[in-house]
Amino acid sequence: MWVYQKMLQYPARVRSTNPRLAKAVITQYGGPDGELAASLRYLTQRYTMPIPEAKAALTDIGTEELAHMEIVATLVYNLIRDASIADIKRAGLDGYYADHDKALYFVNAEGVPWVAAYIQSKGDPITDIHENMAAEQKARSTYEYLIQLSDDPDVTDTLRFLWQREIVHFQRFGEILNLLHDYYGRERVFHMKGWDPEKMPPVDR
Amino acid sequence: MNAQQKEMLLRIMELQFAATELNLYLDTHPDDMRALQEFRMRSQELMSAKMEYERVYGPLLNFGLGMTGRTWQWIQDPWPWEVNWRRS
Amino acid sequence: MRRQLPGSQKPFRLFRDSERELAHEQARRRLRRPAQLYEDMQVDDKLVSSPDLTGNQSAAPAIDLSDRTRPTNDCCRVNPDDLLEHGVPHESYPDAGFIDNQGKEVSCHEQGGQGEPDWPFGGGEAEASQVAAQSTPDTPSSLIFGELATAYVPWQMFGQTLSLRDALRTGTLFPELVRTVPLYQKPPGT
Repeated sequence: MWVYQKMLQYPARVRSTNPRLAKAVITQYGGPDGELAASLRYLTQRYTMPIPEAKAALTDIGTEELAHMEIVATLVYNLIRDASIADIKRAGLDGYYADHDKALYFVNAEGVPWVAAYIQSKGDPITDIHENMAAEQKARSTYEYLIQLSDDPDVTDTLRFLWQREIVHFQRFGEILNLLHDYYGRERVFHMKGWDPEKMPPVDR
Repeated sequence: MNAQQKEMLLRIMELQFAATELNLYLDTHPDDMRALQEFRMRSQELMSAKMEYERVYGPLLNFGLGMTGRTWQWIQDPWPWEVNWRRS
Repeated sequence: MRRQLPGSQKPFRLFRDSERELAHEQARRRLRRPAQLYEDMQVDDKLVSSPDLTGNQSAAPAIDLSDRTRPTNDCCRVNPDDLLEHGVPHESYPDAGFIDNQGKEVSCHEQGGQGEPDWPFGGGEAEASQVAAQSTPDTPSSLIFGELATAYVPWQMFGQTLSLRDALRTGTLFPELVRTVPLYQKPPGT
C-alpha cells in the first residue's frame, strides 16, 4: 500500500503568475515523458522482475516519481492560480480553460490527454529496463527544453532539481541492467521460441 | 505556515531526501555497509525530526503512521502545494 | 586477462579504477560468479567510452557497421576461441544456432533452409580473413564487430556524500552524479 506524506520532496517555488509557462510545464505532469507516465511505467513493470534488486528499485523509483508528479502539479497550479481570463487567453490556455478551468489534468503541452500507450510493460526484464533508461533520458531532455523556455528563475530551480533526479534514476536503472545481465549469465545469444537454455552451454562460465 | 515551521519542514525534507538517495543506492548495492550505516543514521535522524515536528504541527503521515494529538489536525491547511517557500 | 580494444584511447571514467575494482569485487562476491565474467565487463566499459568531455580525451574507436569486411556469417556472434577461454570446448557449442521445435540443432545458416544469408554489400571469405588477421588473442573479432550489443553503465561506488542541504539543492547526495544542465546558446538576434 501507499501512504501520503504531507510535504513536497523539494520546496518548489513560483515567482509570479505565468500561464504561458504553465502550458509548457504541464507536459511533465501528463505528457509522454512526464512524471505520471514514469511512475505508472515503473510501478506496473515491477511484478515481472526476476531479481529482488529490480523489484525494489522499480517500487522505490516509481514512488519517487509520484512525488515528482506532485512537484510539477504544484508548479502548474501556482503558475495559473491567479491568472485572469485575459492572461489565460493571451497564453493560449483558453482551450484548456474551457475543459478544465484551472484544475489540474493530465495533458501534454498541446493539450493532448495522457494515454497508457505512452508506456510499455513488455514482460522481458531486459527490455523493460532499457525502456526505463530511455524514459529517464527523454524526461531529462524535456526538462532541458523547459529550462530553456522558463522565464521564472524559481521554476527553473525546481526544474533543475527534477532534471538531476533523471540522471540519478538512469544510473540506478543502468546498475539494475548490469545485475540482470549477471542474473542471466550473459547467455542471451538468441532468445527464440523452442530455445532450450539447458541444451546450450553457458558462454561465460 | 510560519518561518519556524518551514525551517523544521525543510530540515525534514533534507533528511528525507538523503534517506531516499541512500535507499535507491542500497537497492542496487545491498551489501554496501558504509551506505547502510549512513542510511540507518539518516533514517534515525529523520524519524526524530518528524516526531518533533508532528508534536507541534500535527501529523505528516496519514493512515495512523503520524502522531495524532487531541484534535484531528490532519485536515489543517496548508497542504504541500499551498505552502509559499519563497523567502520574500 | 584484460583485453584492449584496438587502438583504444583513454576512456572517460566516472570512477577511479581502484573504486571500480572494489565494486566488481563486491558484486562478484555477492553473485559468486567467476572472475572471468567481470573481466569481460571491463571490456564493456571501454565500449561505453564517452566522447570528448574535457577536451583532452578522444572518443573510443567506433565500430563501423557499414564495414564491408563484416563477414557474411555475422549472425553467429560467438567466437569459438572466446569459448575455449572459458573452458567450453568447441564441439560442445553448436555454432550459436537454434534448437528447432523438434529439438534438432540448426545452424543459423540453415535456418529457413535458405543457405547463406544474402549480404547485399559483398564481402567474402577473403575479407573476413583479413579481419580475422586483425583479431589477435587480445582483440577477438567478436569485439571488433561489436558482439556485445549490451548496454553497460559503470557501477557507482560509495564515496564522499554531499551535505544534506547541498544534496537537496543539487538533486543528488552523490557528488560523482552531479551534472550541469547544458546551456544552449540562443541564436543571435533572439
